[in-house]
Amino acid sequence: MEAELALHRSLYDAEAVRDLLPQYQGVATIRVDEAEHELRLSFTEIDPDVAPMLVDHFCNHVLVETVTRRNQSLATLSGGAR
Amino acid sequence: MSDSSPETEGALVDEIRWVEDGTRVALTLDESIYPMDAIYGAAYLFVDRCYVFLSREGDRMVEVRLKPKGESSSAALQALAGELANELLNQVLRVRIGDSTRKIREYYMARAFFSTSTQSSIDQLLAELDQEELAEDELEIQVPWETGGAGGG
Amino acid sequence: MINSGTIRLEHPRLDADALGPFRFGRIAGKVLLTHDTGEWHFLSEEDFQALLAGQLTIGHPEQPALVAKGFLREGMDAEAVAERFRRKKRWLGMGPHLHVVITTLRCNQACKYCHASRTDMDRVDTDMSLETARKVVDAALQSPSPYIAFEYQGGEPTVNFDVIRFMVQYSREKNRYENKTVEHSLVTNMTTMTEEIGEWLLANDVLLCTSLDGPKHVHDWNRPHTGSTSGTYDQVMHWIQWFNRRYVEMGRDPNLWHVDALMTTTRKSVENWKEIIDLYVSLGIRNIYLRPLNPFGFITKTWKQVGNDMPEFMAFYEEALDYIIELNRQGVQIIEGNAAIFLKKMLTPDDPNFVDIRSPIGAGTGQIAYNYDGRIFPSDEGRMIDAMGNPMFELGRLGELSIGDAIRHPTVRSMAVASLLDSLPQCSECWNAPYCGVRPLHNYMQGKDLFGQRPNTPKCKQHMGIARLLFERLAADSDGSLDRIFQRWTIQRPRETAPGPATND
Repeated sequence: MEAELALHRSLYDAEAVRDLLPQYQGVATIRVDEAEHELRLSFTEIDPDVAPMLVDHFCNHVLVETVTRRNQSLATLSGGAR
Repeated sequence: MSDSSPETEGALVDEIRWVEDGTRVALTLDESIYPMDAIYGAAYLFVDRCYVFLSREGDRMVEVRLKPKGESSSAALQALAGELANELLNQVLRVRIGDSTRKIREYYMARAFFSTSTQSSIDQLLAELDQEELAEDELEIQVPWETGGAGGG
Repeated sequence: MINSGTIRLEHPRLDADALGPFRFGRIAGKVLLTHDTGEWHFLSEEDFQALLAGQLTIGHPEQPALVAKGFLREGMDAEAVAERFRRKKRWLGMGPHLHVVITTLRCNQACKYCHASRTDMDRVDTDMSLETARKVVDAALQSPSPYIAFEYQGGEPTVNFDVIRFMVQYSREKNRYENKTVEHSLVTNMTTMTEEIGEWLLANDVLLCTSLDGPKHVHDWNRPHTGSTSGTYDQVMHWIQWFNRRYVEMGRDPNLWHVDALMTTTRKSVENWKEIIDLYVSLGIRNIYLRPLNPFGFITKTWKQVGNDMPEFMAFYEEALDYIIELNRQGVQIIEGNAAIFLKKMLTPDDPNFVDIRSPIGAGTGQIAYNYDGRIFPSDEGRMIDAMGNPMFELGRLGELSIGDAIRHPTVRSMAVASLLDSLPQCSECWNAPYCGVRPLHNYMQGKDLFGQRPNTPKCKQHMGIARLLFERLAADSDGSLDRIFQRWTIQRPRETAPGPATND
């Protein structure tokens, strides 16, 4: 099974996307093409057991990671107070 | 699109457009009304019940798409849209109150943990942050015209 | 079929420059405001809108309280706010006070939910040596904290009683030069207790805590002997009554000196919650601590049989809390432990410094765990993850790692960063932030990520659920009678020879 996903760089943290990829090694092969405005992800060799929700699950995961990192950097900049 | 009307006695009235297809609902938000921190804050709250996806629909426009993890219906999706909209209102308030009260909060936190005068250290921090921002500003858009950078005018 | 439409949103008028920093949420049909200092205030929706608009000014009945609590800027005493905040966080930088000591992994029970990762009784190689015990005392007394609590756990810690005896005596001797307040508590299943050991524990002021999961049919189902279906209820009951009788005979105030008990909430407990509370009351136990199961140890294999999910636990908790409140109204002195922790944060200027519910978490900075083999962990949970085959949270070894090194260890720092509520999504804006704490190792167990996904975290549902229940009850307390009960729950009288208990769940 295969799937495609485009994540806008202004909304998702590219480093978070790259850092999450190893966690998905066992269930899919994920290739990332970094375009100017988008990260284009192609999912191949998807484990059939997780195929129906893999991309949706990945989207939640990368959103959480993006928000977490954004909060960490804001807290650091403002000395812990937002 | 998000249509907003000018403030009515200080209160802003906004209309958020939603679309649902029986399995997911999408809301289109204007970043000038809903800053990214508010959008992120509201979207985050739904990750236990929904798959959440953000996409850029224009220069200042962001679409938030919610797809419930279980079975859904049009009525449930429309209720979900209402819930997200209410949460966005709360998040906007939190962001604006947080921005406005940040200095007070920094002040009492600093006073609580350091007995000496804190004003100088806050000034120093702000000066350092300004320096960092300038250092990261490769396009020099923050350099005043009078002192170099892009000429003209 | 595709449907579309619009939602009309009226943004409230906001004069943010009139406000102090606060978080807010909607509880019991009102708006709850909370402050970093722990102060809180309920407003009607109408008054909240007036507050936001800067229209809640002098002459409004809510105005004086909102100024005093720091929610309104005009007239706010920032120095007083700073002082209150400092008092709430005074444990910061104090260093670890709770020192969990695993004297052995051997245990004669096979509890269905065992968190501790036990071994059989012939595995004497999992006993702590006296040499290691000496190093534990030396390390613990290096902590900058003026108060040190040794908590002996296992396995069943009394199986290696010589180590406990040695540590109590050696720490007393060593503390002559340190002058700290040192306390010892023993978490025991009571099955190897003897009168000789009991008298020694009493004579040395070792506080006692046991596991009592409820009436015989519940306790024995949860906590059978190894290789047998027979339970330990009769032994536990005998020893609770024996110790409590001896405390009275020694002239000790039973309000302060009695066996404490912990219960773990399995599916069986939920079915029998009222009987469990009645049993605790009948034994004179003043504090019942309703704990959900933790995702550690043996429980990960038996969850389907005994486990309950968080909504089920919270439904049980609400019924049990209301029953305990009702008993208090009838004059019975019993408190619920979780509620008492939150109430102390909500109703007093202090914080109980409960290591698992604070920001940042106390792992490594408020608590240290010492394994039987001399390895050091930031918390007992880190030690339990190690026992499950993952050494990721080991900080080092006694003799090689000082307490200062432990506090500054990168693993401890990571856990502090992952539990600092101000920097976490959802938590940083949550009305419960002044009272709450997150558990990075629970997150790790759930998703191999210290930060976790807050809405998916059972601890978030538990902590927010408990705080919400307490605020709902307080919002409905028109005559102040519940406030008087809850105030009593926050009082911790010092014992004659040692301060109050400091345990973790």
